[in-house]
Amino acid sequence: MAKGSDIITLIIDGREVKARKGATIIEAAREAGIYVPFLCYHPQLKPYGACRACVVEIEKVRGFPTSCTSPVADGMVVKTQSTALDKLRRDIMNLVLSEHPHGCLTCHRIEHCGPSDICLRHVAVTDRCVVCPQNERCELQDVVYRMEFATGKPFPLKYTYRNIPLDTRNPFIDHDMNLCIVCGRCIRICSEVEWADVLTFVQRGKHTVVGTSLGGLLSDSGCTFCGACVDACPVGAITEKDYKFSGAPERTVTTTCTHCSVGCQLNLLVKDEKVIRVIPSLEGPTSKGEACAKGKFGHRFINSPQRLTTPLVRKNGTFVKASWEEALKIVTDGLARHRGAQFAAIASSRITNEEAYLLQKFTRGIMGSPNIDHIDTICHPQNVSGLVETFGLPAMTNSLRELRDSSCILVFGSDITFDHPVAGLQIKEAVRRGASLIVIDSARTELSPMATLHLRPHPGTEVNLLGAFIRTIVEEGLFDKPFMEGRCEGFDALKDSLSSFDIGGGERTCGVSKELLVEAARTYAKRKPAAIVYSGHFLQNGNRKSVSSALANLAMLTGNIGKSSSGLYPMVGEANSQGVMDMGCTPDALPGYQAAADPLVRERFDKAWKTALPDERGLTTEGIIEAIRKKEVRALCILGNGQPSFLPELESVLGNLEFLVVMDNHMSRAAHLAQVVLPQCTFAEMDGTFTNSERRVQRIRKIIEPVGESRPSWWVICDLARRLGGNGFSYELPSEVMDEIARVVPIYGGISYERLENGGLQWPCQDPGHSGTAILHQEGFPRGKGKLAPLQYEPPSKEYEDKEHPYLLFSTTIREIQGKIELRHENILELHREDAISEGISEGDLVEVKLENIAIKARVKLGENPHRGVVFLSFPHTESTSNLLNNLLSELSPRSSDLNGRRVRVEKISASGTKHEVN
Amino acid sequence: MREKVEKVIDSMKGKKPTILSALLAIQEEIGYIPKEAIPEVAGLVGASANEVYGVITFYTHFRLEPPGEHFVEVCWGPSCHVCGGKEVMDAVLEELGLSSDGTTKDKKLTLKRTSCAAACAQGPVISIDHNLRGRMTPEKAREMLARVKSR
Repeated sequence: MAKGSDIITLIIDGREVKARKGATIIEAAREAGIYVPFLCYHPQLKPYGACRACVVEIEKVRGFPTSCTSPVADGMVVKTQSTALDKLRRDIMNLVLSEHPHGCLTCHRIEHCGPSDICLRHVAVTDRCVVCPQNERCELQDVVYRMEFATGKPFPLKYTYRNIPLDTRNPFIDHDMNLCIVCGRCIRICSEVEWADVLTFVQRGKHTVVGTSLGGLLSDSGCTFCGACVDACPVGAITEKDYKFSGAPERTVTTTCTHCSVGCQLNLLVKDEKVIRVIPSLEGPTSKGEACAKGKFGHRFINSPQRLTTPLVRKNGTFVKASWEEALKIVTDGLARHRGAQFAAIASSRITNEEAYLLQKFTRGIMGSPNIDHIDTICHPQNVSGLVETFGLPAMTNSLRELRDSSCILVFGSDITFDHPVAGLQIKEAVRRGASLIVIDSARTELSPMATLHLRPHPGTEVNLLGAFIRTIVEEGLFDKPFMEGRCEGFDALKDSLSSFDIGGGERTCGVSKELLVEAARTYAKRKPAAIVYSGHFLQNGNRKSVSSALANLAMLTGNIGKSSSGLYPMVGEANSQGVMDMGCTPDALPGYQAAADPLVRERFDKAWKTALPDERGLTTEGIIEAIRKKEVRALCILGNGQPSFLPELESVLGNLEFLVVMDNHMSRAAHLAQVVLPQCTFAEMDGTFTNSERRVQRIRKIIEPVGESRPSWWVICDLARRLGGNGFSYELPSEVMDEIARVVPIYGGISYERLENGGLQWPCQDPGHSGTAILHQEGFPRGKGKLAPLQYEPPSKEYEDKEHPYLLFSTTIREIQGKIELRHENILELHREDAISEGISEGDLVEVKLENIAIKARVKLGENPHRGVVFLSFPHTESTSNLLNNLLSELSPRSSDLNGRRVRVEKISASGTKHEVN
Repeated sequence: MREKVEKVIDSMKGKKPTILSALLAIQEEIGYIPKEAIPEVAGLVGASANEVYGVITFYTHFRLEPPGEHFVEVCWGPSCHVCGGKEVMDAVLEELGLSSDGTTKDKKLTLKRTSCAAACAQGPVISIDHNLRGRMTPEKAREMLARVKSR
């Protein structure tokens, strides 16, 4: 090896092994396929050296160092096997086993019993292998087996049962500390990877157990239920509640999570055609072994008894079960009567790229209707519209994992740790590495306690805040001049538009003090690379475009574009929100953001699809809702995917339709109003691809056979298309759909299932030789030069007087208030101090927030809310509150998907000290 | 109680407090670590309440329950043990109506065994409110405890 190289050579057990400089011996040995026993080592964690099972001998080094804490050195000679090491490890293992029930090791029937045999009662009932949830997948069991095999000597020891009561109070997770070997992996992963510090060693010496403060519930101790402790536990001390005693899986398949747009790679474990467990994959390019509660535990819906298993057809007002043939015939007839613009289709954002592509091809090509859109349309396209104007592409510029190395992260109006927890972890990791965190959010979020600066603008004045922010950077000359001159245009126009934003008047115009604003602007401009993460909750729809323009301006002004760990991170909601847009489930764009209005583009697609595309302009989801209300759109197809409530505004007009077909895997609210409901496969039952928010196209894989008679929607759409006389829908497999997408969508040009086998690819990926694009706009922009858009000052809207409902409500979901655990289970209402005085309310009082005919109880918190007349309601993040919230929302008129911007009144119920539950 | 805790926490601000120093200050001031103090200490040093609890349970010095008015320590070191420490201990337990370390029902006395009081030459020793008494016998111990109880 050349001098100064990062690769060094050492000898392990007489074999020459290459290793990365700085790696530990155990890493080098594992890489080379040499077995070293271990219990406390974990590839995601820092070296710890607690269990001592991984001891080795190193030439010219005294004693027996642990291989998990010893770094490799060039020319090092290591022995992992010797008589002395065997003796040492046996003694260590004897100690570990002295308190760990181990009937599974000593029972004389081990070799006779099969994996799922019923116990023949050769061992005491508490000690049988079948009563340990980790049997057949226990690391301790493995280590001991291997050692016994190597030495030929069984472990004869008896053990002392610690007799600690089981803890089964928590959701998802069970604790049995009698099985704990005190390796500390759970505690370390909770602290080092998840930043949660929920678990700790309680007591010391032989009394040590893993627990929480005062033995409280996990949910009271700041747990986010990411499940990392479960996966880290080598034994059965911390296990999943579901399918606890199911033992080892029959097979494991890697797929992409369906719960949000981060696109974590998950290993789904299957037994008896059921998904019994989910373990995040260490290979995931974005997640690298991290997951959240949604991904780790949110798989019950796959095998849920509520799944739709047969097609349902409405007869005389009620649903009856029907055969696929019968149902498809009714759908074909129904759709044949409504060709053209009286038909519309709306896609969920959880469907695959292939399904999205086929749905829009079906709508445009077969039904001859331009009315195709997806449900995220109300926020997301507007959230990225500024990016289209500025750069020419509506997508995240960089990759999520790069956030860890940013020097400054500006999080704008995003509940990222709740909506996209694994992306939130990258921000937390950046803060740990020393990054400045600027949070611009009217409400308190989970990130605000760790923020360097938290700017809380009055809701509705975000553009004014950003204008003043940009003005500060321009006036203080903190912008990147060479970048402005070389890569951008429109600087002067932007500069001229800034004069209307008053930095000093910040307090008057947006409620943020000048000092705070200037400090934040300086921090963002000076600390590079700086990234902007945003999703814009609380934004009024009219503001979304200007906010995204302002943020894009900000990134360009400071040269934070086209470089690693910088850029803009618009956070989209669902697993395939990005993909359904890429695939053209939008009225204005054909697949790959090719303008539907352009006749040349249309001609190209006419040729490719052998059809004639409609030339009128299509309706957005909002337009479709309006057209249904006016009975201009008379037939609708909804491709849902397990979202219980689709769009409240849409649901309220569905009764006007002549024909509604819903494809979904659960009976959604919309499905209840349909003529025909077709049962759809979930992501675990079919092949396909999702595109995550960082433009990474990743595979989802068929893991189990379709539940009941459900079928994948791509098959259903193709079948309907053929029945309606269309050609170009004769695909045998989803991979063939992707091959067609690659042909007609330039940015997907190099993507095929074959290539995706080795991990995802980030578009643009134009040809099969292209390795994908992690960072956009490195050389230039799709539109040539980056366009700085001038900003429009918006005077704060005049508050109208409503004596009955004097407060403006904004709501968030929050899991934890750092350190203050006693408030955890309650809804919390943040009230301005002076408002509280005038209402006669003080800190800790119990109040009711009232609007229309609903009332929500909450505990009052004062002191941080800077805005008079605005109240912030935060719900704890639990299953019961989200159900509660959905029920509350369904009672509002007009129906709405959140509570934000509503006028409410606040009434005191009782003074502090009284207890209450969330309803 | 909350005010007391807040007072101690406020006095620590700006002094680079650690979990340990904050807990010591609270126990010094209040006599034990009240439950309310755990999240406050966590907030002060930027740790989680769980970590703070781990530290409290690790050190035998910290108490989560208020101690009795008087504090009795019986030496449980080897020197005292050989010259009759066990008999003294049995007598103390009986006199206080306890089965091991703890506080009497009337909250008058808290018993704690110590590893070594560093007065081996005078063993067996007990200490009452930090005043060391050597050459202890079961009878003398009962007599002294009775006197303390009546105080």
